[in-house]
Amino acid sequence: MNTIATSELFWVILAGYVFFVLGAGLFFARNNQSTEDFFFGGRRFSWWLIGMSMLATGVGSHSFAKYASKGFEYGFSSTMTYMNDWFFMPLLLFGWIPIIYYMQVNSIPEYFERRFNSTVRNLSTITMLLYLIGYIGIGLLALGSLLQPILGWEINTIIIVVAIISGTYVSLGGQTAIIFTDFLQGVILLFAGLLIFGLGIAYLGGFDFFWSNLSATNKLPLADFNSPPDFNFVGIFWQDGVVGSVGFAFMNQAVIMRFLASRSVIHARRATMMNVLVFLPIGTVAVSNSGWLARAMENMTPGVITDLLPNGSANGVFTVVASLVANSEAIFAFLVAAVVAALMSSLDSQINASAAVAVNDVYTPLSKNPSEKTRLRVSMFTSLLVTFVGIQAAFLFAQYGTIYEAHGAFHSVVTPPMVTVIFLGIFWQRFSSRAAVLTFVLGAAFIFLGIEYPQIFVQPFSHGIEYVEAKPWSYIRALYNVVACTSIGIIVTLLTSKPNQSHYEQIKGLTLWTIKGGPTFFKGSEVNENAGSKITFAGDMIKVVDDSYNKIYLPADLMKDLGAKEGDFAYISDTRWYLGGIKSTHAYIGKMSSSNKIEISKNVQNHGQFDPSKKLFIELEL
Amino acid sequence: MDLFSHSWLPFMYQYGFGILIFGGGLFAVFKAYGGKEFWNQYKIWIQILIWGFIYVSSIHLLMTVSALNDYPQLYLVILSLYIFNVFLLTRKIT
Repeated sequence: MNTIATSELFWVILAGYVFFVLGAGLFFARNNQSTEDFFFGGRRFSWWLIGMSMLATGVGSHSFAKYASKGFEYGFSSTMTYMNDWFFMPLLLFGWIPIIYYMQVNSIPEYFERRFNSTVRNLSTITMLLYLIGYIGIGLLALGSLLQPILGWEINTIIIVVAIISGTYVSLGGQTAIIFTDFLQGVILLFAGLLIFGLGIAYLGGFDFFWSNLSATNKLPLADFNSPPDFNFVGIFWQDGVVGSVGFAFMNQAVIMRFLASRSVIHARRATMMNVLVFLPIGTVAVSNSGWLARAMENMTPGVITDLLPNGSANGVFTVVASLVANSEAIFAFLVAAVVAALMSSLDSQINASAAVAVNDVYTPLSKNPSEKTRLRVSMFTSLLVTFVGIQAAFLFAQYGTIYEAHGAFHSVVTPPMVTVIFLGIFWQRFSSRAAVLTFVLGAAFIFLGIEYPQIFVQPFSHGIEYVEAKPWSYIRALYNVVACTSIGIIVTLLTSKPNQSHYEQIKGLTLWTIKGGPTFFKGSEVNENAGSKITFAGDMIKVVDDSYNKIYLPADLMKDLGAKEGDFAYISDTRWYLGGIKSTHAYIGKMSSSNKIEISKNVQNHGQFDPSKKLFIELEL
Repeated sequence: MDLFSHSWLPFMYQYGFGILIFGGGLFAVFKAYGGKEFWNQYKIWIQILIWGFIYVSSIHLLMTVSALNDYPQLYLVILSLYIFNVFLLTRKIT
């Protein structure tokens, strides 16, 4: 196997960079005190931090391998599904985000138990763990593929080494480490992606050479409607653009945990919006352009890229292009390091999310009131366990050909039942527990039938895509799976009797039609009409009092300035915006303080870590 | 070479379904939050939602025209749209 020659300098830079990024994350995570901190980072971060870390989670994982390889084969259309997310934004921003935030839903299975019953929760836990572990497997495989042209090792060996490093790091750091690492990673990832584009254009001799060495089809943003079978528009639209996008935004526990780590619903909405409209378009160019450059180079000089690809697999095209266009070893090391750390920052999110589901939805319901310390220890152990299972998944995916197809096949099979139940659960109050169970069970049966007898079941949805014996309609089957699951859900609901009034009372706040009152459910009383008001004060005005509540006690004048009442919900933070909320927390307003100091419970100080020499502010939230 | 099935057909399919999904979602949210009340409280968010749809479809539209007519200069328009978008989102949403 051909390997790209590297010296010690390359490895020093690579290792130094990875240790720097991971070390920075662990530094910020040193105050994890509970599973709330470990999984949700204390629910206090600003939109820009969340938005950028969401980008690193979504883009960093398998994208550099997946989209660059298709970019090399087909051109700009490799990233066609990146822009589809906006279609779902009204439902996500005003339906799903307020539901999970205000109803304090910590995981999708937990939502299912509250919306339906424990059977649905158990079924969704299995699906969710499969989904997340699949993501971990794809991430590990992608990283292995990218490093293989340099290391020349067996891909399985690379997967194991990377998994050990990522699993250990997440087990120690938790969500805060992930958010900060991902933020840093997101910025560097965009920079590295654009740097390689700039270097590549220079290598080719200017933009005109790049443009003129791509065919018209290479430059079209969408693929051909229904051919070839391994990369066609209509199949990928349903599999990646619809099922994949909905799966990522609505059911990916790592993304849900980002929403929950935001300081408020407004910040979660803003983070999502900025991610899709501002960060993702650059991310799209960053992950794919090495493939486009490779295509232009290959068209210009046939064999220049293909001769360097290990086993002829396009999965490693990023590394090959980086080695060609980087004009120094230091830059090459930086580009590879940025991608390695990007992939690890994605893996860490999925590992942490899997552990959250395992602890919240498997361990806690089975054990009898475990202490917070035990839960935290179990969380760390579970992070290691899911990493181990993820390695097995990676070995399985490695047999599938390209990462793009492996991911597509995995998504189109695992995601539809869950996505269907989430959607019908949110938007149709009548959708019953029995229908949800049958959507999972019969849905899985129909998906299996589609795999076994594609020419009977999937063919009517094929849109004229050619049948390939080895991988029959691997993308468009997502449409068949969604239609099958949705039909089951609707038919069973319509055939069973309407739920009684108590059912509707029980699911208040858990559907789109009742979430308008979400802030009231969250607070437990009416929202203060002065919500949004803010006061700033010197940090030395704070006095920590020894009580176990999560409260702040304001003097009369500040209470009046803020327009606050006892029981209101407030956000207290350091005024330095660039901290992104690391020194902040939420607390309830307690009785009026008898002194002229702002008294805060020990608990509030422990979470906020306020510095008495710095200015702080309190914002009335609800 | 007929590129219709590689350009305008997928474009129409994507944004045909896109407008159904997006429009349906917006309509459902409007109904759930009480129509006029929703507009009064979230006017800027609704405008940004609609702008976002126009923005992403325009990028695909311009890329398609650019590829079919071999006219790379249109990427400068895409870049301008992006910069305007950043300006709009960072200034208008607070």
